[in-house]
Order: sequence, then structure tokens, then C-alpha cells
Amino acid sequence: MIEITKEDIRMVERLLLPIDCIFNGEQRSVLLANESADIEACPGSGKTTVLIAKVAILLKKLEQSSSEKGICVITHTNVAVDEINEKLQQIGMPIVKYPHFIGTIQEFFNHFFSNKAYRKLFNNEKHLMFLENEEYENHFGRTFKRFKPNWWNTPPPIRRMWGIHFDFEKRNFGIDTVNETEFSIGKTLITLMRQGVLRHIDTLSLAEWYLSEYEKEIYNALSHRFSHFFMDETQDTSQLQFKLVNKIVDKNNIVFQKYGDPYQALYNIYNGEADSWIPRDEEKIEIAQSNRFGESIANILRTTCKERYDHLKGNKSIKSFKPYLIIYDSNSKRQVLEKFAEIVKEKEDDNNDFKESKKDVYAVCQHHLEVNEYFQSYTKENNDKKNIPFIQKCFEMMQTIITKFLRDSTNSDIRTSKELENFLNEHGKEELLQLRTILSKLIKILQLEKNKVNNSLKDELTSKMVDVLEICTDKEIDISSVKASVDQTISKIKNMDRNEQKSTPITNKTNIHGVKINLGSIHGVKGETHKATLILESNRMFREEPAKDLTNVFSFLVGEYDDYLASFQEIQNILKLAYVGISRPTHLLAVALDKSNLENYDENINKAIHFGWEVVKI
Amino acid sequence: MFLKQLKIYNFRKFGSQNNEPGLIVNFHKNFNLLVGENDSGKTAIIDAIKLILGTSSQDNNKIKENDFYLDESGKSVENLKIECEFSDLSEEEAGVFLDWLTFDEDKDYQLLVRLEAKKIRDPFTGERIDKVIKAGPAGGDSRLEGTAQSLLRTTYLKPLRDAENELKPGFKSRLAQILKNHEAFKLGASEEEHKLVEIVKKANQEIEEFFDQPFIDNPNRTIKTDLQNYLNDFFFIPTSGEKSYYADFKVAQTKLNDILRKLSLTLDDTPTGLGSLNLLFIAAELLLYDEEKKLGARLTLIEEIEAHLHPQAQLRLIKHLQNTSNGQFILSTHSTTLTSSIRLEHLILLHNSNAYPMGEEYTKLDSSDYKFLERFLDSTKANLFFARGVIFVEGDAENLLLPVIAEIIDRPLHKYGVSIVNIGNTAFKRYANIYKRSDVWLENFSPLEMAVSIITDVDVRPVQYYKENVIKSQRCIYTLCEENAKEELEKLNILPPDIVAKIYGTIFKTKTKVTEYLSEYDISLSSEDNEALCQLLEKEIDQNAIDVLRKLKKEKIINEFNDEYGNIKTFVAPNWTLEYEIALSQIRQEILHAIHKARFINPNSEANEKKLEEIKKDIDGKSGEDAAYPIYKPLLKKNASKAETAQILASDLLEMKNEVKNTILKDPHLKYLIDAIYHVTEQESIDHD
Repeated sequence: MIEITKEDIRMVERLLLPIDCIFNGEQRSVLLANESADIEACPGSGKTTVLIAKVAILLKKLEQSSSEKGICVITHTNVAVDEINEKLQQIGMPIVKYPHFIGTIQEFFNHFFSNKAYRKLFNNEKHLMFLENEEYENHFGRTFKRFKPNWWNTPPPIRRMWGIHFDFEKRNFGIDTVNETEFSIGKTLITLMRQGVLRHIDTLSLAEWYLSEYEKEIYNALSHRFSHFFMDETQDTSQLQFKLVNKIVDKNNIVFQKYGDPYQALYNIYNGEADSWIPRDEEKIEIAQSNRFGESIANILRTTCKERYDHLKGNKSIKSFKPYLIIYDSNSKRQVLEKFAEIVKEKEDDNNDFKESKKDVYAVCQHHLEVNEYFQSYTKENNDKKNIPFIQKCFEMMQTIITKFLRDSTNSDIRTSKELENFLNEHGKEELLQLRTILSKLIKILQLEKNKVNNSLKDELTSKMVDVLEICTDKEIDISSVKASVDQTISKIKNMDRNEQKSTPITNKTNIHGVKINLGSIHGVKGETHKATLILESNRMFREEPAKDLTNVFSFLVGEYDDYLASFQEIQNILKLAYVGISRPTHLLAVALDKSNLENYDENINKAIHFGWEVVKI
Repeated sequence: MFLKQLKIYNFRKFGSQNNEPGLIVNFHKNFNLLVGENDSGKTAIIDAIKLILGTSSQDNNKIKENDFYLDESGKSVENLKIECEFSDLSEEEAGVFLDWLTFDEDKDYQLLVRLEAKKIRDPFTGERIDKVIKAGPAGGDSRLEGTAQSLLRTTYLKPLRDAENELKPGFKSRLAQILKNHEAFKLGASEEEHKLVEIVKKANQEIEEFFDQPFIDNPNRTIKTDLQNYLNDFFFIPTSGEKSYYADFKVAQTKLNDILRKLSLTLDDTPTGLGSLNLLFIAAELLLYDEEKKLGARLTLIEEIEAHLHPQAQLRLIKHLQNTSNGQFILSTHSTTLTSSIRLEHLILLHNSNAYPMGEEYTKLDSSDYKFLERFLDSTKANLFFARGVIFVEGDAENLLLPVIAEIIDRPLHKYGVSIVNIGNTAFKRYANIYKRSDVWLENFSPLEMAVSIITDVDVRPVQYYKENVIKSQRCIYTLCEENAKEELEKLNILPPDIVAKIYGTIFKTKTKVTEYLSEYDISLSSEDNEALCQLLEKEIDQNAIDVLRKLKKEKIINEFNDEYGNIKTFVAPNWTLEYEIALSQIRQEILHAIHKARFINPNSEANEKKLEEIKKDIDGKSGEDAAYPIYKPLLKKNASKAETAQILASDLLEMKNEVKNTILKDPHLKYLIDAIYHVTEQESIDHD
């Protein structure tokens, strides 16, 4: 059994924390906890740092022991995985590898179960591709044409497709065979699956099946694989994920610790699923001391939360300002951001700490679309596309054209650009390279010299394309048939914009009075720390009537936890969102409300002032 | 956990068709001895395991161009694959290997490890061989890492070449390589120095002090100062702070690797023979095999363990290894001594590019056969595992005569790799069953296509014998040789059906013999029943009865031993015995003389010559069995030894090889021998001239 000592904690404090900082009492008790537990951590509690510290200590200790077992750390996003790995490396830990596992829950299931389940169920050796939604939808749309009912003449049923989940234990994998549409969708999904093209949700269905087959065996083995099993952001685990993990982790033989803040469970606010993780009192260790914000913000969070959070403690050494309530009407909605900027500016002039803070200023809303109500030119940042070098982009474009030719005009097995590249690496490496050479010539002529392509280069491209196509199909290809593809390649390269990464510019920032305000959704700022945060009200149905989200929970904002209201699912969801938003800033919190929706206006405003809000009307 | 199965695709002599492995080997969970003729693939199997799992002494594990299978056209293939299946994993092991774990049909833990190598012909960087070792289900596999990989490493014993050199100090010291990988020399996370280094450092210091001791007659001089004076003369005088050179006495460098390379291993101080050194070498190699270790495959590979060890040492070593309860051993051998001394179920016979494990679930042998063979399979009989064809015979005469006859008809057995195995009795079935595979085996794997000839006698005495020996008044024998008589006996319902089947074809000289026979099976009949039985069995002896009996018994023998694939064939002396058939044949004069020479110490004495003349006179003008019986009679009466006769006949025949060749080939009485030889060598149609 591995014990963590005070010396270990001192060692990791030196490595991980800023100079002269130490872990507080609550954090220490989490570090020392050596049994299965639920670690309920408030916003700004430093829980991820505590987790990293703990992992670092354990990695060191395990390396010195003769144990074969490892540590498993599961979180939800690649960003979180990268953060943990980077921090560990910064403090000089070797790259984490077997027998340890740090990854997203998706990777965990895939690595241990889903991939193997796929082999058992489909008995093939296809490389599995988990596509992003948009890409998967394209594949689905193409394949659906083969299976759609005769009468189908509208676009492919994308929404319905996302609603279908497999149950591999059942006949036909749980697909309804009576309903013609669902049957067609099911056949399409399975066809794609046989080709190795999967949705992210399929990982879970595969894992579920695998665990139903081998639950006992895996349960027994897992406690010999890992000595510690940590889950970060446990509140964002879906019911099924949570169920599967609990099924296999033997918490008597593995130290199974779940970290998170159950009040911040946002994953389920749109799908109606109940919260999966409810920390049990008897196994709960709390960090209710926030390092992020001072008392004035903690004061609001104590009631603006899905449950009363009376013991939440603010950071005494941070002087958060009195929070601002910005009351606007239909005419002044567009001036909310400006007012906010003014307040920030004013506070910066007053307070040097605030001015010097490198943290961002944010204005956030429940949903992206609602941000436009306050700032018209806002567009959501699209982080799907990474920055791809221009030449690579041209090459991918050409691969797409070749793959399309193969799909449309031949019966080749190659269906995607990736498959084309793999195939050519294997069978036509030389041709692949020659094709790249020609492409770079084309780019030089078309893009840099702005010249026309001469015939000899065009012929060269044509003949090389034919070569490649012949390698792929093992048949003779008529030169004239590729003419269209060649022309298309040339014109696309010519028109491709070398400087712009995306066709539409995004605006997710604005600069008012020299204050840079970032715009976004509450979802998007989870886990972040700001210097100032403005929460913008949005529309939301309540009891089937149009309503405003923040106005609905006004009483909570002014210190009155309303048990009756809190019993509604919709209110619970708003409280979670508000809680996440309000807990972001270190110094300045502002909330913008529409005056016209507030009942008993004067009385409520008085309550707010009395509770500590600074009320500003515009 | 243990290595349950190995599959080889396109590696060395084992090809692959339709993505099916060229070789599948099923291993016993404790002990396996690979046997087979030369070039049957024993080393390929050991090397395949070594390549995929690695060795604890970290031997070089590169795949070379000639590891790839050569196809029919002699072209080296592009890809090769080796696959291991481990079974019987404990929960702990399942935990360690969880990332790669799969489940078999019975939902038991299973670990599949796969090596794939391919030739990369990169037009830009030239040709190289790419090797990846992964584990997990095909397609869902990933690289084995860290502990998981090292837990699968095998302990490997090189075929012994030169034990003395291997155990000597030096840069390439095997001993150093072994020790370096031993638990005791693994450098842990701690930065402390190894104990051995400290010892050597201390020794170095003491030695240095020794050389610093002043001479007794001159306290100002020491060996070191003397040396230093010379050195100072040899080198430049250091001017601008360059280093000057100092002499230093040391036993060894104080780096662990260097120390290990300086070590040698001997047996005390006594001069030792190569055999003892070899045992010491094996002991050293086994240092890396950790019996206490609980996790992992604990697989030990030993090649040609018998090289340079005398048979008794081999036996002791094998017994030691066989009794090691923990871990799995795979050995290869050419030694019949070893082969005959281990349990049959531990053997894996390599034949025709297939591996045939001899475990009870794989063969038609039953547990009593295993016990029997364990007792009677000696090192001469163990030859049958190293042959390409086998002739089983029941006695010395066949054993001596068959190679000669084979030689005469141009089928020299040794050139065809055929072994003659003299069983010394008629327990052919137990031996033949070695080659018969169980139904479970045949569902998945191919039959053992080893050509086996069984040569035996019908052993029905001729009518001439009975005329001479059966009590005159009686002239009867007791036998059941007709189908309708058999049915009648069944109807009588006095004997169980299996006994009836046994009696069918057996000859009893008297009624008493019948009763004796039945009592062997614990059957005693009432006197009426006995009388009824004898009446039914009673048979007057005449040529016809003998012929029926011979035919019946021959069929019975053939049916008992032959297999359905035609690999095992039985050849029966159709009349009585081998010598009797020869006496019937065109070389009857030769056997007559051979018997005569064997019969008398001084065959050429006048009295003895006369006896020969008498026999000659007796058979003069007679033919067939009337002539054969008198020739054979001295053997029947044991006046002459069959073995000696065979020996004399063999050498006589060999001398007149060319004259008798055609006679032997054409003689119908010897046909069964010729057929037996053809079956294990090649058919007559093939002309070698």
C-alpha cells in the first residue's frame, strides 16, 4: 500500500506551486486520502492541480516500488489530458506511459474495450476511424443513398441518425426493423461500421456490449492493472459512461477517486438526463475553499447553485469588487457591453491588482446564438479546422478529387483521402512523390507567379493522375476521362486563397474603450479563470412559456434559495449555468438583466442592493 | 500463463496459403520436446518464439532476409508473420496485460502476440526489413510496452558450442550478458552503487596500497615509484598545466559492466572436462530462469541440449527440468536417449512441415498405451521419431533380413531415412497408434502422414504340422472360422459378443485350451455349454480349413492396424512366418543352408552333412508346403536360432545380390516384404537407372 507523507507533499509543493505557496488544509486532506472517495471541489479550488500533484507523487512512488500496477487518470477532453501531461513534464516527470494511463474517457473505453469488441462483433481488421460529426454526416449521406426507402426524396435523416444507439446484445443490434426509415438508417450505420467508420457514441455501445460479455473477468483483472483510478470532471460523465466505469472498478481493491463539482454538470442540461454523479456523504471529501474569488462573489454563489452551498468560502486575500447588476431595456440592450467596458475601465483605474491581471475579460451567454442580441457581428469560433499549411491543403484537395473520381467512376475500395494516402504509401510511393512535385510546380506557377499553366505541365499532371488511378484500380484508365479532374485541380489551386484560413472571418472579440472583451458561451468558458465576467441574459422556455433565464432565478441571485422553484428541472439547469458563469471571475462579476421581465421591480432591486449588488440602469 | 499455440506464416521453411499459417504448434503447458528428422523445422520454431518474445539475455533478434519463406519459384516472399497465443492467465496476469487482453470461446483470458515483418522497398532509402510486435485482437492490436513485454521474455539456452569460451572473461562474455540481466544486477531507481562495485573499489584500493609498500632493503623505493620514474622519462615534462601521467594498479574498472566482463566461471580449481563445463554453462544460463517469479510466461527455450553431454547427464538434466513445476520448457533434440526417456505426451513430432504434439487429446493412444510405451519405448525404438518412414517388425529375423532385402531391390532403407523398429512382440497396435490422430485433432489439423509398414506373421500352422503333432485319434482342432458358425455361436448366447469376436479366427489344439482361454477372461461355462461350444468349434484339419483360417486371420490383423488414410499398412506373411515364406520361395535353398549353418556348430562334419542330405532328399520332388515344412522344422523345434539363421541368410544373400535380385522381386511368396519396403520408400514404377 502506498502512503503519501507530508514530505511528499512538501516536495510537490516546491515543484508545482508558485514560490512560497502551499496547499491548504482541504487540499492536503485530498492529497493524503488513500481510499476510494468522492472529491467535491468548488470552483477555483485548485482541484486539477491537486490531482496532478497527487499523480506526480504516486508516479514517483510506484517507480520505486516493485509493483506492476499503474495509475489511471480519466478526464473528458483532450485539452484536459494535455494539461495534465504538460504539467507533469514541466515538473520533470518522465512521459507517462504503460503501466499508467492518462486519457479521455473515450480513449479509455476504446483502448481497453471498444476496439476489441469491434473485432469480436465484426471479425475484420479494419482500421477504426472515429469521425467528427460533420465528416461522419457526409459519409452517412453518401452511404444512405444505397439503403434508403424507395419513396425517400429528401436529404438524409441526419438528426434521426444521431438518435439511434446500438444495443449489440439484441437482435439486429437493437435496430427497429419494422420502421422502414429506421431500418434503412440502421443498415447504413452498420455498413459504415463494417468499413471501420464510427461515431463517437458507438465507442460506448461497443464497450457496453463487451462489458456485458466479460464483466466479471474484467472487474477481476482491472484491480491488478491499476492501483489508482482517478476521474476528473466526474460531473460531466454520462449515465452510461458512469455506469460502465463503476461496473468494472473494484473500489475496495483500487483507490477509486472521483474529482469534480456536481453543481457544474452541464453535459445533460439539453438532453434531460439526470445527473449521473451524486457524491455520497460518507465517502465525500470537500474542497469548499476557493482560491479564485473573494467573499463578494462567494456570497452570491452560496444561493445561486442547484443546492444551497452555505459553506463555500471565498479567498480572503482577493478583494473581489461588489458585483454589478446591469439593468437594460429593449432600447439599451446593445449598450450593455459598452457599459460593462466602462465599469472594467473604471475599476482598472481604481485597483492596480485588477489592472495588472493578465486574465481575460469575458461576456458570456447561455448559447452562442444569443450573443448576437448584444453584439451583432459576433460569430462563433470554429475550432474544427486546425491551421493547415497551404501546400498540404492543396494536396488534400487533390486527393479529394482523385478519391471522388475513384468513387464515381470505378469500383475501387478506396473511399476516403486517408485510405488513398495509405494505399499509395504502400503501393505507389514513387508516384505519390511525383504527384507532390507536380503540385508544387503548379502552386509556384499559379500562386506565386500568377502565370498560366503550360500544356506540358498539364500533360505531366494528367499522365501522373492516370498512373495513380491505374495503381488504385489495377485497370487501364482512359486519359480523356480524367480531363475534368485535371482542370478542376488547376482551377481550385488557382482560386485557393493562400492567406485566409477560413472563408468567413470570425468575430469573437471586441474592443471597447481599450477593453478587450471576449465573447462566448458559458459552456465555452468552463474551467477558465477571468478577471472580469459579464453574464448576459438569454431566452429560455420555462413551464412552456417564453421566459428569461436569469430573471427566473433572480431570487437566488439575491440570496433567497427558493426550494419550490429549485424543484423544477429547468430552474436546476439555469442554476448550473449561472453558477458556472458567476464562478469565473477573480474580481469583477456583472450580470445583465432585462428590466421589462422583472416583476415587482422596485422591491427586487432593493433586495439586490441590500444583498450587495451594485445596480446600474441603462 | 503459458504458450498454448504458435502460428507461423512465411517464416523459413514454413509458407502460408490463403492467409492460413504454414505451421501451427500446440504446446504442452509444462514440457515440450521437439523431435524430428534433420531440417524438419525444430530450430525455426525455437527461433520464431525467440524473435517474437525476446530473450532475457537480450540476444540479437533481428529478422534477416533469409528468414522469409521462399515460394515455389524460389522467390523470397515480402511479409512474414508469427503469432503466439497465451492461455491460462491468472487474474494478476490478466491485469498486467489488460490493454491487450482478449477472451477465448470459453470466455477465458487470452493473450495474442503478433510479430509482423515486411520488406520495405523504399525507392528513396533502399530496402530494409520492418518488424513490429503487437498484441491484441487482429486489427485491434497495439505495441506491447514496458513490463508487459519484459514479462514475456524467454530464457534461452544457445546450442552448446564452446562452453569454455562462453564462460571466460572478455568483451563478448556470455556470462556477463547473463549476469547483467539478472535481478541481482538490475539497477533500480536508487542511485546507490552496486555492492559488487564497492567490493571492487575496495580491492583496487588495497592493491594500490600494496604496490605503494616500500622495498624491504630500500624504504624510498616502491614498485610504483620505480614505474613512475620510467614514465616520467618517457613523457614530456608538463609545461602549461597539462596532465601528467600516473601509473595505477587495479584489478578492474569500477563500472559494473566492466566488472561483469572480468568474471569467469569454473568448477572449483580442478581441471574440468568439457561435459562438466557444459553442465555449468547450462546452470549459468538457467540463472535467468526464476522459479519464484509469479507473473509472466516463464518460458525456457533450449536447443540441442544433448550436444556434448553424455547420455546419463542428459537424463539427469531432463529429469530436473521435467520436475520443475513452475514454468514452461520447449526443447529441441536429436537424441534418441532423451526422446525415449521423457513422457510421450511431452513430445512434439515434426513431420512434413507439420507439428504433431503427442498429448493424449491429440492421438488415438489411450492412457494404458501411454503407460505401455513409457515402459517399452527405449532409445532404439525412439528412432521412429526421427525417421521419414518406419517399418515395425516383430522379431530379430525381420530386423536383420529386411534391410538386406531392401538393399537388394535397390531401396536401401538408410538412404530413404527409414527406420526399422523391432518391437519384439506383436503389440503393433500401441506403436501404430502413435501415428493415429484423435478425432478432435483431425477436425482442425491434418493427419500424420508418416508411411508406416507393419510386418507380421499370420501364424497359422500348416496342415503338415497338425498331421504330425495332433494326437492321431483326434485329428481335430477347435476353431471358429466360418461366418455361419459364428452366427450360430452368437445365437447360443453362452458367450458375450466381444469374446465371440475374439475367438473368431483363433485356433485351439485341444478342448482344454479352449477352457483355459476362456478362464483368462473369467468365464467358466457349465459342462453342457462347454460341450455345445466345443462341438461347434470342432473342426477336422485339412488344407481347406487351414486356408480359411489363414485368410480370416490375415484380414483380422490388417483391419486391426491399418488406418483410413493409407499411411499405416500391414503386410502379413500369408502362410505362417517369414522363414516359412522364404522356405516356400525360390530362395529356399539359401534358407535351407542358412538354417543348417545355424543349427550346428560344425555344419560341415560328416554326420551333419548327412542330416542336410536327408532333408534334401525328403523334399526332393515335393513342392509347396510339403517341401517348405521340412526345411522350416529345425526352426520350429528351436534346433536352430531364428536370429542366427537370419544373420547367415542375410550375408549370403548380400553376396549374391545381383543373382537373387530378380528372383526376389518376382517371387509371390516374398511379395508382402517387397510391398512393405515399397510403401515406406517408393513404388516400383520409378526407375533409377
